[in-house]
Amino acid sequence: MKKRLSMLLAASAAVSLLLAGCGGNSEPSEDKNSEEKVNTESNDTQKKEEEEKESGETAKITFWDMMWGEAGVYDVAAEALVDQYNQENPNVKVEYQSVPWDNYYQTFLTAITSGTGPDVATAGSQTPMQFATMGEIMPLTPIVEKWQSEKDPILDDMMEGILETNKLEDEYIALSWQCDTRIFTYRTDMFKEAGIEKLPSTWEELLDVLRTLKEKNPDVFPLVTAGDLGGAQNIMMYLTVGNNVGPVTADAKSDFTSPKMQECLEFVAALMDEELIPEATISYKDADAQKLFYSGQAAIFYGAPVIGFFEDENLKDNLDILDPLQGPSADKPQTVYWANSIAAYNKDSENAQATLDFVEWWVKNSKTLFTEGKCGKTPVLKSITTDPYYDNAVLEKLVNEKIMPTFVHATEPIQNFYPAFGQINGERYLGNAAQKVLSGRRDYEAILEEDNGNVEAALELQAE
Amino acid sequence: MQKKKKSKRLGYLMLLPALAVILLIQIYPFLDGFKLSFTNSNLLSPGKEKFIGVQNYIDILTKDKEFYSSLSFSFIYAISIVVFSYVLGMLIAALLNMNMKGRGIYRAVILMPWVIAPMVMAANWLWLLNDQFGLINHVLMELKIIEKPILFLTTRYMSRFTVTMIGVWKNLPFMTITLLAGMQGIPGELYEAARIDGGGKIKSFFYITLPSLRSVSKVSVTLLLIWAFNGFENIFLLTEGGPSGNTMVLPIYAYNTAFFRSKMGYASAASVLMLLCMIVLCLINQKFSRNNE
Repeated sequence: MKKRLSMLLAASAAVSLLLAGCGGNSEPSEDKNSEEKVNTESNDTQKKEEEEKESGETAKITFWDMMWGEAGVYDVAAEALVDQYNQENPNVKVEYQSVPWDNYYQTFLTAITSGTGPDVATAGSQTPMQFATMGEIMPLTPIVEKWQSEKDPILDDMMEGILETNKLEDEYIALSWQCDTRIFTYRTDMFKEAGIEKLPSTWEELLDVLRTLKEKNPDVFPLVTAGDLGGAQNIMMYLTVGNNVGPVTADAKSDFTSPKMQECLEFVAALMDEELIPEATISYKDADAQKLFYSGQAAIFYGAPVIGFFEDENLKDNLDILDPLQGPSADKPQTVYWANSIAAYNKDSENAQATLDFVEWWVKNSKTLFTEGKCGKTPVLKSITTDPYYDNAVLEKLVNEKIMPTFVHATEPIQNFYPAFGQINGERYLGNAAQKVLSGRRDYEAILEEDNGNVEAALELQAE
Repeated sequence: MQKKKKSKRLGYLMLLPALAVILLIQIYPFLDGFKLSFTNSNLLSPGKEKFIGVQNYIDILTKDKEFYSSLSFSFIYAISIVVFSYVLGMLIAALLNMNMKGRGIYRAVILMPWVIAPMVMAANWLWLLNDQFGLINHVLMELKIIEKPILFLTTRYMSRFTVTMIGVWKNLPFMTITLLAGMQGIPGELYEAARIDGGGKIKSFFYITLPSLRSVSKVSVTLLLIWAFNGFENIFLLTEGGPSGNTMVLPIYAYNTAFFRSKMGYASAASVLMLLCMIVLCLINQKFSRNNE
């Protein structure tokens, strides 16, 4: 009996660890109206900060920055930028911390809900919205209002509509400083060998090109891409935006079972059925697809822009990117982009004004993150793209010239990150559907119906 | 008498720090998680948490297909790991228990999978199993054993088989070393007597070795059952529960529910059900062991 009890206790202890993981801070947010609180207390905070300045005390700001580029290049440039700010503002000490992408959301979640999070951070595109719905974000509306009242030239310099991507009701919860997209990088030499002269501009034309590549060079995969859950999600984001559809309608109802959505799955099925992508795509991570492309085993790579390809001595002379593609139900080519932002994650910060000042400065002075940090993203400020750096930055220039004009935000057809987007995107319902097709299922309606309930549940939850 | 009492008190006092730590980092979060399982706690709706009784449990048990598919694979995964590890571990332990040259080196080598960091292990296995540039497919094709690459992590059954075998590979050292330690505790006289009575090696194994290892087996099987059922990193790092949820196990399901769906109450209820499943598994194991005694 004792032995049995000890076994059961051991089992209980093992699961308790898991439960402990779930048993985080479940206390209700202390302040539902944190935004109001910040506004009403802003005068007091400002006074306090002024007093601190006079007394020579330094305001400390913790800044978490994601690794937006290559380690050792991007983070060095970012830290140098922070150092510059610290030198220009002796009363403020911004402490820079580079954060890896692996499980970053859990890192943020644990830290912020336990009160040990950063004052300011750059994070995944939807992260500010997720924390804003939890009431953990300090709105950046005062910065935008200041720009508007002072007619700051930055407003004209910004990509059209970019400010609105992070608007929740009447508050700006984050400020975008760069955008991420997905592109098709292709081997010009392989296209030439296959006799392909005209680049595809629609999905059907892309399929024709892939068929030609396969026919002329059967030893090479026409297209490679990551097909694991994250990869499949990115494929579907590209296709849905390109086909003028999203998981939800403009009035926030589920559109997951839309015929346009089915067209996206049919396209994925065509790639698989005609063996235009490797059979094991569903298990590929991005690195696997990149490796195949880099080693010359594939003619086209779909994924994030990879600067390394365009700097490689063996590849750079034989590379280009495809033009934006138009889906069967779209009336023009559209390319998905994600607005990546900086936000203030400490709603109760004692240094609210210093935090706002730093965020504003970061957005306005982010140029070196592109030119020296080589983050490879598209800057939100158009003036940055005119920097001489872009004369030699082949890939970034191509993306800015070819792809950027067709940018449509990932939340299409809604302009801004809506609260349920975090769950819909985070749970990768689109990727899940694509994976079912990649694994051989062809009952599209049933596939879409399976996750439709999840999308509806996410929307209902937010409506509550 | 008084000295004995004093010594006892000192013992309890010395236990206190450890007890406090256990209470703080295990018992309290466990109870908090248990309490949470009766609420609709959602990270995205702070302040709206309310007591909903056993609704989470009802929803999981009556509506949640994903829970059942994760549960069934969790059972298959855990039991397969235990069975394969036990059989192979016994075989290897028996070999390592024999007098042979380089026995120390073999014993060190067998521990390797146990000491490799999970992240390193996963990265290496992913490379080894890749269809285009993986070593395993490359060797098999060079040897003309297969004509086209095996898609280890692509199809439903193959991906399940692959992650299970990697789980066996990872846990085999524990079983081997535990059984080996048990074998070394068996007095040599028993084998000597069996030999004099005309018992061969196989009979000695079944009539001396196996019965003598009963206690060790019971503990090691129970522990491995718990670890395998609770196993997270092996599958998460290899497939994240994919493709298409084919290798989803309960710990990953609970993790996704908590951190991606933000449904903390629901995830806690799933974890409590996991605990119940594990208790049932342990009880069956105990019952099975007792019947064999």
